[in-house]
Amino acid sequence: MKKAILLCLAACLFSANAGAQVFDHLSVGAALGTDGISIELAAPIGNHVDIRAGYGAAVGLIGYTVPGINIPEHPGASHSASVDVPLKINLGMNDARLLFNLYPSAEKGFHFTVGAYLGSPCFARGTMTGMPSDYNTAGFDVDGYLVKARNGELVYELCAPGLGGPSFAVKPYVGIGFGRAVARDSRVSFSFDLGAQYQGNPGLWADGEGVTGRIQKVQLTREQIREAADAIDEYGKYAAFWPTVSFHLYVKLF
Amino acid sequence: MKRILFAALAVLLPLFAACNKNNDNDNRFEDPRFIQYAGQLVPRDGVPVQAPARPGSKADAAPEAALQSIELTESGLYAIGQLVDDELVYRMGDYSVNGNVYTLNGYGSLEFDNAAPGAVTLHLTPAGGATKDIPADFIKASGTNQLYRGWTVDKTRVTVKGWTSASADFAGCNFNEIADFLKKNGHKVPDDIKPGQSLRSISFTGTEKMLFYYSDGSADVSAYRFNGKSFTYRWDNDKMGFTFLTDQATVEYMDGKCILTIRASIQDSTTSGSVTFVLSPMD
Repeated sequence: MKKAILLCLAACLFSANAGAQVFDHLSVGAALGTDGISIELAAPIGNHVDIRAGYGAAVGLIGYTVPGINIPEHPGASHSASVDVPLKINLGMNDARLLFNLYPSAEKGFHFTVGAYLGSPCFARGTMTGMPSDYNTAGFDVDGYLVKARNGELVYELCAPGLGGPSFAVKPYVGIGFGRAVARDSRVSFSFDLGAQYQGNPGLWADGEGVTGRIQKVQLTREQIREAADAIDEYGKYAAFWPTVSFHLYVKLF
Repeated sequence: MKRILFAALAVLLPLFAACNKNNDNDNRFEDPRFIQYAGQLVPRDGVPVQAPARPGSKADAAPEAALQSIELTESGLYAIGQLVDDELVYRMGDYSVNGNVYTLNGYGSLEFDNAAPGAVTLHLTPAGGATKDIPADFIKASGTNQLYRGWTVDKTRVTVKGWTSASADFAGCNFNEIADFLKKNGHKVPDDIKPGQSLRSISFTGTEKMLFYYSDGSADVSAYRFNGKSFTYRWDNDKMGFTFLTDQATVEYMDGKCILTIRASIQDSTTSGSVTFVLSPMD
């Protein structure tokens, strides 16, 4: 992360020393990718660097539904009649991003990108609907916060903080791409980016309700999620570096 | 009725097989309405008096029983304790006061010199009955701790801690609702719970009495000792159906609520649990 920041600073200094114009253009862009749907503002810092700042979300996008998760009708009675409830799994990103495109050539579109995604640590969400009514009453207790269904809907999230904390993630990004965020000779430009966000090993989180009704996101323990914890350990390592592929459309405002 | 709450400790156990708290302890509440009239009246001897009427029955139909105490809470609730068949039975209601005369709604009236603690003569008049003069001691409520008042029950949370923790939340404290949950989750519960039976309020008095006031007008009254944050009390184990190894409860204030947590370690079990009441001031 520090190296990336230093690299950006070096690029800025290089551009400034070369006498290039800084922030003399501004583009607005929209993008679609594995990091969600996003909007961006981009501006050049000389001929070799573009700065991109934006916001993106993928909450509820690209889902897969597991049709029947078998649960007991009454959570305290494991031998009670079982009920099949669907589990819908969706992307769950919701974050800002600050990125720098570094162009080796002043004219070509090939670039390296460094920067970070900042915001919610959660990147995937599982929603179980039609939960029996007892699940609205009882659930896991995490440090005084009760994780239970609300109106028959139980939501868990896979979250990883990167270099940040539980409430605010900082996920460094590195990648390569083709196309300029701020085209030098046209009003409209396209770009394609391929890279990865470092987000670390994920855990299973959910909203917990305090005794007074205060809601706080809490991480479920291994003991509570049992087999799911093993699965998260086994497959979660592949999500430690989130593959990020995105397509961008930019329009130069001036 | 308290025992049903602790029965809930057991039913949550199978959950284990199935599948920064920002406290604000500086909440201040306005003083309760009847803080200057509160106290405890203890008759010098068990004078038989008419028992308070049960809701729906005529006052004059209630039999007489030996008066043991009258609790007058800071929030305008009274509890009359009588010895019925060697068992201390409490009935509760609300009171209003005018000078030395207390109107005990659902019972009658009570008059005594409430200016200072000490020996007093009670003039107790059941509705439609004759006045009885009863020598008694008046223990005036002392201290102004914000706990000393009546509290309505917003929510009840039952938590079991074993190798992991599970909880269940119930709005208010309706025993039927809790019993229904317990039954469905495979636990035996007493079958003598009246429809609609609920915990109406919990009161703490400056004379260190804790009053559980039920929707049918009955009450459980027990003594406690309070050190500012936690308090100790003595459970009636036989009545509860469990033997509790601890007698500690804690009080904290959060988000304008009083959080009363009663913890229990059940004998011959690795499991502990708690019942938490989220309370709002009655007045």
